[in-house]
Amino acid sequence: MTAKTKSVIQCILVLALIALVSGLLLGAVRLFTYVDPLQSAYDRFKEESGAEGEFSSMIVEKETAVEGTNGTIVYYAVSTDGVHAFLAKGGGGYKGEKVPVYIFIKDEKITKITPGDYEQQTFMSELEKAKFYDNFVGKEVATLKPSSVDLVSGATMSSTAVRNAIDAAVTYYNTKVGGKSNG
Amino acid sequence: MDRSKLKETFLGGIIKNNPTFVLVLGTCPTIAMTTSLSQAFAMGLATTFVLIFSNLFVSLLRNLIPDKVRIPCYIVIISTFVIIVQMVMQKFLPDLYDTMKTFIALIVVNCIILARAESFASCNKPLYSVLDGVSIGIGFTGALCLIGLVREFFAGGSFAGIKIPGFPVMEGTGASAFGFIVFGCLMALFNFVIQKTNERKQKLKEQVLPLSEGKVEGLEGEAVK
Repeated sequence: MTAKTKSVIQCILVLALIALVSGLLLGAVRLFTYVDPLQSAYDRFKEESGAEGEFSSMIVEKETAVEGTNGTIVYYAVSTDGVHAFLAKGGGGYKGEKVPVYIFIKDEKITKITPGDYEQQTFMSELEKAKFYDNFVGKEVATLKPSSVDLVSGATMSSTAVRNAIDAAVTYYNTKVGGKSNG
Repeated sequence: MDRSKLKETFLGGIIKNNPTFVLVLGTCPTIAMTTSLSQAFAMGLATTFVLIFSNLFVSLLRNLIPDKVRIPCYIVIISTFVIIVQMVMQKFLPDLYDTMKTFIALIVVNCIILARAESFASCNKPLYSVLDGVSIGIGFTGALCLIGLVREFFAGGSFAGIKIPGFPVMEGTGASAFGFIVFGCLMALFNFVIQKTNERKQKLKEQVLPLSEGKVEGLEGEAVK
């Protein structure tokens, strides 16, 4: 073995040793500092829904398109006290943007709807003023037809997008979770 | 243990080799993270932690690391401690971490840390290297806090997070350009004070020297110590 080869092997060994010790050290620290990447989503579900139970496992954690609707489900989880929480996005908003909406269902009824983080706050406040969400809250999920709800003038695109988001959540619930229409 | 070297090492990083005001290193985090005192302090603490531990490990491994791969080895050591800082901040200070995460990750390539590893820790004993890390860290944190204090005062109308009632917030002072102006002014002031102090010390030395050598004009006898 030449001196050059020896030196290369020594370099590789030292680097590998340092990397190994570094990895072990990081692994040990991670044991004490692990943070669930979805924890902020659980916290937001709990805060928005006012549910007494805890959200601890996400059923949908990747944005999924819902067939037959112009919306997607970003997150879906169920709390220990039976609140089905959805973060859905509805297409067709201002400048074609998707509008995020939180939808909560309990005992086959929509219990609460709150807007998600969306830049066009002026349009969203128009929806609040027009009590747009009241058209959905308290309604049976199985019989609800979001597309038949009237839009809000002055925020037509945003109300369309919110309606699409609710439609996505309701359709997902009815087809996959086992609402009344699912038999 | 050489006491004078310990003292010199400790004071060196704070005054003589202050990384921000004298060596002008780490300008990027200095401008980006000094919009408020709390951010500046957190950035300073994170950098100090990485400096101390990377200096310690580089010094401990200085005889083991081959010269050809020293920089990759230093980077691995530095990035290990940066990731530890990230994980700890994410767990215990999530809000602060969210606002600072980009610049915390960039500590890996902070030239202050790499420079200290290369120029000091790689050729000094662990104790001196740790002391150098503490000293440079204090110098960096102090400089960042000073700039953060001034910038927060003008841009946010507050002093260390406490709102000053009636103080008008000046438009544009939150921008990086104003940060550079504050940085430049404080750097000039810092160097002016150091220069004046050195001049005064030099003068005092010149006055004392003839006395010790017994060369006092107008006197025939020798000076008494």
